[in-house]
Amino acid sequence: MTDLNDYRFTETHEWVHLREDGLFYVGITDHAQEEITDIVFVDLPESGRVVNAGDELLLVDSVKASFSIYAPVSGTVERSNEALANSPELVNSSPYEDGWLVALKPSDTADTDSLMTHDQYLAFVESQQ
Amino acid sequence: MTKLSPLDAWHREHGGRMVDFAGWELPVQFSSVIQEHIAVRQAAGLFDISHMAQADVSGPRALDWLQYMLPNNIDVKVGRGVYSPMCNFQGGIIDDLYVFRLGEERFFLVMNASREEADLAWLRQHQFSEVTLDARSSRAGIALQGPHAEAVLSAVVPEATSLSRNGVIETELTQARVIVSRTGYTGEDGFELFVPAVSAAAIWEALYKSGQHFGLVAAGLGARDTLRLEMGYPLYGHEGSENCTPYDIGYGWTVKLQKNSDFIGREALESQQRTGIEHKLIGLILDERGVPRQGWTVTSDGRARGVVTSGTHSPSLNRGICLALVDSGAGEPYKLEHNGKTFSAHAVELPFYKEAGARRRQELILQ
Repeated sequence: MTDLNDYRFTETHEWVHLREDGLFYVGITDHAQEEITDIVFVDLPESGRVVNAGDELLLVDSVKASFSIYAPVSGTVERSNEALANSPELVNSSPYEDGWLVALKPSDTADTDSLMTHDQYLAFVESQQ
Repeated sequence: MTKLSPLDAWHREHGGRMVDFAGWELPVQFSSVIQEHIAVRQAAGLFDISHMAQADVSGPRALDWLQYMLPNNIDVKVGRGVYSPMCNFQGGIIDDLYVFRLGEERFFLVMNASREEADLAWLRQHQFSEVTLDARSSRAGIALQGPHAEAVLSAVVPEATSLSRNGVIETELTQARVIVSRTGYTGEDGFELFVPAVSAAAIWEALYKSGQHFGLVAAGLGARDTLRLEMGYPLYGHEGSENCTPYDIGYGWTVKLQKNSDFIGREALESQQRTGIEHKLIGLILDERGVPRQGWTVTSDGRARGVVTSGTHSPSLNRGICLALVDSGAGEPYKLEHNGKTFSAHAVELPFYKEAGARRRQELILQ
C-alpha cells in the first residue's frame, strides 16, 4: 500500500514523490484520473527537457478531451514511464504507482515546501466541490 | 437555465456524470465511455435522447410542404423514415433530421437539440396553409442500440421487433402513445422510442430490466459520440453548418434533384453540382499514437488543405480517428498538425469500423 504521506500535491492535481534514486517522480492524483476518466494517450516528453515549476509538462488524452499536466517542481526530465505508451490506462488503475508519468532530476531551486500534504490536498479537493 | 430530461433522477441515482449539452443536462457517461461503447458493439446500450427535438406535421398538404422544405424525397410509404438535411436558399445546412411517415398526411420529425429553435423558426417562416406543425415540449426519447436490441425490446414492445431498418410504428405503451423506429446513431441494430415525458421513466426501467439478461448498460453522450464517429456519421455543428452544403460533406445522396417538386436550396445545389464541389469530407486514421481533435490542421504534401471537424480515440480500433473537411483536390500523404506537432495519418473509406451490425446479420443467417 502506497504511503501517500511522503507524496506532495499541487492544486492542479499532480503529485510528486522523491524516491531512492534521488529523482522526483511525478503523476496525477486519483481524483484527477477519476475526473479525466479513460486515459487513452499520454504524450510523454523527451528526456533532457528542462521545466520550471508550473510549466506544462505533458498532455494526457481521455476519449473526450486533452488535459494539460504541469510540473510540480523545477527540473530536467530524466525519463518517462515508457509503459504508458502501450498501456496509458495504467494512469487510471494505478495513479500513484505504475501510472507515474515522468521522473525529474530536480534543479537546485526545486522544493516541495509550498506543496500540499495528502491530507491538505484531500481538504482542498473537498473545498472545490 | 439548463433543461432536465424526464430521466434526470434515474441518471443521478445510477452514477451518471452530468454535463451540459445543447442546453440540456445529460450524462456523458455512467461507468466508462470505453466500456459503454464496447457494450453497445457487443450487447446493448440504452441512451437518453430526450434532448432531440420532436415535432408533428399534419394536414392535406403536409407531404407537399415537407417536399418543399427538405432536399431528400419524403414521399416514402407510411411506416417508413427518411434522413434529410434541411437547407437554406444558398444550400447551406440548417440542420439534419429524420422524418417518419405515420400516415398519408401525418409525419413526425426528429431534429438536433442544438437546432431546435432555429429549425422551428425556419419551418414556421415557410409553413404552408393547411399544414399543422406542433413541436413536442413535454417529450422524452430513448435509444436502444446494439446486437441484442431486438431481444431486449421484444419483452417491452413485441410488435416493434418486426420493423425493418428505418421502419416506424405507433403503438400504446404504459397507456401512452409512443413512436418506435428501427433507427439509431451507432451503426448497430437498434430502435428509438419517442414517448411522452410522463411515461419515460417507466419505459426506460422496463427496457433496462429486460436488458439485464443481455448485458445491456446505460450509456452516455461520450459513447454516443465515439460510436457515431467510428461510423463516420456527421454531427451538426461539426460536419454540417449553414456555411456548407450537403455536397460539401459528401452527403449528396440526401439531395434528390430528380424529385419532381421544387425545394428550398434546389437552385443553389443544382448550380453547385454543375460548377463542381470544392470540399470533401474524409476519414483519417492516425498512424501513430495520439488523439486528433476538432480544429487540427490537415496537410497534404506539406500544404494546409483542411481542418479536423471531429476527432476521438476509437475504442474498437484502439487508434486515433477523425473526420476532416479538406479541399476536394487534396490527397495522400496526409498529415495532421497541432501546436507545432505533426502526426502521420492515412485516409480510409468510411465507416472506420466495418463490423457494425455483423452480429445481427450473422444471427439472421443462422435462424
